[in-house]
Amino acid sequence: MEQLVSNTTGRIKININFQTNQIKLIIDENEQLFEGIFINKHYTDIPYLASRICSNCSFSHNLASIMAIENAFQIKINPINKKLRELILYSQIVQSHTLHIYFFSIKDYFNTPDFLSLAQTNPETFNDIVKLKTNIDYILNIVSGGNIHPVTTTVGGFSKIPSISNLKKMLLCSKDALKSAKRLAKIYTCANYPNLQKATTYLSLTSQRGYPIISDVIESSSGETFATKNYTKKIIEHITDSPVKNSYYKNKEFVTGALARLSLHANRLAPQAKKIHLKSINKFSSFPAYNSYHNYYAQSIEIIHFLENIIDALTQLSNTSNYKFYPIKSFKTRKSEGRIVIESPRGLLYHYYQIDKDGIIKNCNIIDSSSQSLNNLESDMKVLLDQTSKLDSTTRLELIEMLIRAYDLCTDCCVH
Amino acid sequence: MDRKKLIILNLSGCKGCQNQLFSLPKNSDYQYLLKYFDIFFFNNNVKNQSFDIALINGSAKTKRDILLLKDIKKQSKIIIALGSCACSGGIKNLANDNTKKLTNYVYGRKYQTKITTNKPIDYYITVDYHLSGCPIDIESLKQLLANLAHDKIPEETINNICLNCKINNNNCFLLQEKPCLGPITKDNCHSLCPNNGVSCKGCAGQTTSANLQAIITTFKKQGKTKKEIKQILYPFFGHTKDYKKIFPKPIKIIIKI
Repeated sequence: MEQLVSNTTGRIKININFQTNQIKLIIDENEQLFEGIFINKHYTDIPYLASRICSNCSFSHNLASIMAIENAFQIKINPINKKLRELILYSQIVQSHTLHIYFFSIKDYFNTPDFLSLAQTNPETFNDIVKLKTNIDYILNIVSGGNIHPVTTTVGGFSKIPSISNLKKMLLCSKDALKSAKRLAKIYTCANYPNLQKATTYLSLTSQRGYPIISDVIESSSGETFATKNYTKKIIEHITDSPVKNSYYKNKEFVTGALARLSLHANRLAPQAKKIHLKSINKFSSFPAYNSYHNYYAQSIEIIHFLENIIDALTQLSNTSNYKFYPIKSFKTRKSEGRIVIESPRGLLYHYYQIDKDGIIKNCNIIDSSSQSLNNLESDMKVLLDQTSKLDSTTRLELIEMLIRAYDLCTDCCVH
Repeated sequence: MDRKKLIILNLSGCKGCQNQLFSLPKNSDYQYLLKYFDIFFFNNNVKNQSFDIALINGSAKTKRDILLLKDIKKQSKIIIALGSCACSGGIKNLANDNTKKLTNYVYGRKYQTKITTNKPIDYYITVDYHLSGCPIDIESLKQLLANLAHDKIPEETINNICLNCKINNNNCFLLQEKPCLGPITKDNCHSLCPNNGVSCKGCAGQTTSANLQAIITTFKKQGKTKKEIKQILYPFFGHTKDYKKIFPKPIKIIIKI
């Protein structure tokens, strides 16, 4: 019998047979056909539309489309604008993780039926959650003109940038948000996670230094690296009868996202996040533990890490002498193709565009992060069912739902 | 005083408009929300329950969407269309009339789509209030909730974007011979995009006094082709009588693979 998974923002259905340990997961959303919608559009139309693939990763899609088009036209971006874009990508991850672990799925590891009930039962925690969200929304509003979809981001740069006084206001907000994030993280650094250890291949971006968010190189936990230009040779999409395309790496399932990033790059965390992480993993049998439930933990650490990155970026921008608005330089459109891979909240995000001499999109391909991790979720669920055969159905269902929520699937991205 | 039971449903949409409910700027805004509303999500098991208010975001483009709409209509006293997708069909309209070609391109010829024509929700059920925007403006949402908390429906926005643009001293895109839909668009956003140096895309939809023909003539003078003008207008105006009268034929897309 099909039933909806509760407390997910998207519609996810599961069909479980507890006797045979069979499970099927269905993303119950309709195909959005964005890749088709982009065909024959002028490149200037794409970022606005790409943002609307979903609202959880809207800034990531918007900037990925912009950077892929810039890659095609070989447009160089001013360092100030680059830094502002990084600021947006960090803020996107903080916003998305916050919505997942502190708004929608908080009941899994905190004693509350939902986030709103905390206002009565736990006003201090509620206050911290609201502060975290309002501060990060404020930053996104000031930098990009919107907290859900950006307004000022564009091919070649920005249509408007924050004033220096606004940079300073954002700095205060990010420091305030960081305090809340550190207090809230205890929910997940001290949580008792179900034990589901399973060999997992993690994929994330990699770079010479820092916790990577934009890079030309992808790394797997098995040690292989490959370049962005070979992405679709390594990550193969399969079309089924569902609107979701499943992806495989070397014919196998894999995971991308916060837990993948943390498992591969914990040594590159920002100082406060690193300190908290090193203290917390004493409680785990090992880290990485290859336990998908730990994605909540990874997201709570990443919120702290990316807030520290935001503070660094804002401090740098406030202190730079050449901080000013750089108007977009004119450039010639040409027959070309461009691609980019960035780290979005749920992992690797690939945008590819083939453009004609007049700037019209002729071909495009987007591979979102959630659909890439989906096969691994399916195999995780089968292992979970096998390992819990002796438990009652109610408990097993709850564990399955918690696992699905841990993956934090963006269902709209899945059906882009 | 009993709180009003408020249900949130997303059909085919990015969920940005429902997420504005969790983007309120102050703690006191959430306290207000909690004081007056008991919030439910349609994704959770809500069969056979009745609600005072339904906030619906996303557009209807499959039988599943239509069935969900009819269920929620039976269960709810007041229906609010939240966001441009619910109000006008929105961005998803761009797949209309060419769904088969687009599906072939994205999924291959064997793929069977369940999508029919993308429609705003009032095509299938009566709606008590439309709050359009892509996404909706948070202040407008707060105003809507304050009205609903006291059993009222707000008044529809009357003025267009140009009024706020003039107040903000924005450079007029039309005067620079660039396309902008400000003159025919409801100002639900306080001219957000022009304030940020970007032209208005019309996401809040048509004002009652909009002169669609006049803006089309302006775009023609700017050198836009008929096809380009249809593409500019279709997402947020394609469902209106005015648009259908001027452009009765669908937009045809050619995809060569």
